[in-house]
Amino acid sequence: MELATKSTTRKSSPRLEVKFRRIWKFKLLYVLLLPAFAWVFIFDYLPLYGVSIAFMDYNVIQGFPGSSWAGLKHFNMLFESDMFLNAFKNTLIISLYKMISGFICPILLALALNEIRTVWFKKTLQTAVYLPRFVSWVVYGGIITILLSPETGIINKFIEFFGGKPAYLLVEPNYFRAILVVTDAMKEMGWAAIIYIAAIAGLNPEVYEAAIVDGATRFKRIIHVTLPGITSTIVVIFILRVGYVMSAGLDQVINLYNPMVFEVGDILDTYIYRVGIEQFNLSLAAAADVIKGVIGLLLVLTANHIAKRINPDSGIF
Amino acid sequence: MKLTGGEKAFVTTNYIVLTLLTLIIVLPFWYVISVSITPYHIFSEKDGMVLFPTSFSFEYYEYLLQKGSLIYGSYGNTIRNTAGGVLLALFLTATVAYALAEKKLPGRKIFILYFVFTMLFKGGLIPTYITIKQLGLLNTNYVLILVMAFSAFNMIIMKSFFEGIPESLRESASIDGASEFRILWRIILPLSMPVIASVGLLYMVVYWNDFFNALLYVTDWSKAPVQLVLRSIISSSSLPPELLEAAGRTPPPTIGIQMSAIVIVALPMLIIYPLIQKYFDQGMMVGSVKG
Repeated sequence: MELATKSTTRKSSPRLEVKFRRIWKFKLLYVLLLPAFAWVFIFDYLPLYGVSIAFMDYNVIQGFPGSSWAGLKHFNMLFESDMFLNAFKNTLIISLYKMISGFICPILLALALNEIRTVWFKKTLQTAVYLPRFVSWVVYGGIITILLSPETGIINKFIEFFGGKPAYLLVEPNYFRAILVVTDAMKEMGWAAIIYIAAIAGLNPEVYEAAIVDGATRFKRIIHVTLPGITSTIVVIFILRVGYVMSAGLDQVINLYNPMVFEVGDILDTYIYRVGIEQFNLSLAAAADVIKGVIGLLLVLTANHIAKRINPDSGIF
Repeated sequence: MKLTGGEKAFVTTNYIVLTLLTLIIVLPFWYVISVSITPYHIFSEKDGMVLFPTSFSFEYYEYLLQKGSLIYGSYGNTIRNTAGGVLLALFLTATVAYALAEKKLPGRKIFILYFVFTMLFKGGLIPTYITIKQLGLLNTNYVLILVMAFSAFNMIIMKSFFEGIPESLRESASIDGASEFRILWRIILPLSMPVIASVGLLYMVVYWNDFFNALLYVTDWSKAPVQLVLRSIISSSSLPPELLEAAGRTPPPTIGIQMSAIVIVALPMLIIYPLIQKYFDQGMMVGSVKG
């Protein structure tokens, strides 16, 4: 018996030793890996276990031990709930609108900025349009709420000045989605343009010189040189945005919406928050989380797959 | 270079459109600042049209920032969370990014998958909430520092930066007898300042601006960050009783309080980002495009 073990160790030890030596050589790097590894385990992987409450009747006071399995009960309830279906529909609609505006505006902005030759002016514009990205939606939503307020809001003063009738725009279901889309574009387009500005800066100047020699006007140069040059970036960004359709902008909506516009403005994230945290129906909300997460995962994977087919270097993983 | 007539029109239109767009984006901020330093009687005389302050008053700020007021205390919480959070986040992100930038590291692919998976699928709001609750972190002073301390996306930005540092640099240093830790501290770290500054800024903005995690995990006003206090100042047409109680005297008109509170909360980030802007123009975007 002893002999047998000895012989096996002797046989495999060189290979093991090589492997161990290879690992030992990088010991410092493994130590460096450890803190983030632990963090991700606690804050990203432990919650995956918490997903199980979507399939339970979760007892808030007693926790997991006091909860019984409920199967797909909560999923069935969701699909019969008008509130949930409404939030689901709104999420898709608002995301789609935002995708169009939030996708086109930054490209146009980057192209326009690229045509500004006065360096200080360009820098000033850039700094100014990045600005809203650095405030929270509490701040930006607050500013919007104040500007649109029926009594003191300056927007209404302008509407009155031009002979219109003042209105409390934030409680009007007809305007709410438009407000979401416009304010989202105003806040994010500057920052979103950076990636295109970087892509344009990386284009080969010789191509431009050749185009000038050929007599291409500025506008023609944009259409025939700049735009084709950044197409791969545009495609990647577009497809990645498709992957995040299930998140329609929690921070924005929760700071702007109110019961008057739930019908057009309630999204999955705000629904989950209200049902789970405010009404303490944790299992039902968790089931909505699961639906959102699974569809989101499928979309991201599909989007990434397509991005890689178009350009093998692109995609985030 | 001579411009043709059509090109001139094109360039001029471009200047005008961009200037208008910039004004639309900046003016709301300007207006809020302007109102916050205008005395209320002038504000109502002009019916709210105070694009340029003609006389100044800081009564709103004095009221909001007096010692013991809710905003004063919560401001301290936000500063503590942001300072502690950015340090922790940079530590967690830089260490793992440096390790994974080493292409020969055994098991590298599996580790990368482990981290990137978190970008694909998250447990979601409720399961995360339950986990935080079971860990006993709910309503503690450090919960907000902990929950935002790592983003796989930022890790990828840093990793691609580290991958761009030529290996010969480290090799020559190790031939000179420098220990691995010393190489990291003395050579890699100073070289990485652009990416540390830009990723640090991204984290700083996240920590400073967070209100939703606070809404979930902090119920005690004395532990609340300033964004949460601002939210209650804005969403209620009358000021929250907690705020009034702490202040102890009749408050100035709500609109002015709201606007100056917005300025107080937003200003630090608006001052800091232009200072760091040059770094994210340089280093960061290279990484985020390639992934």
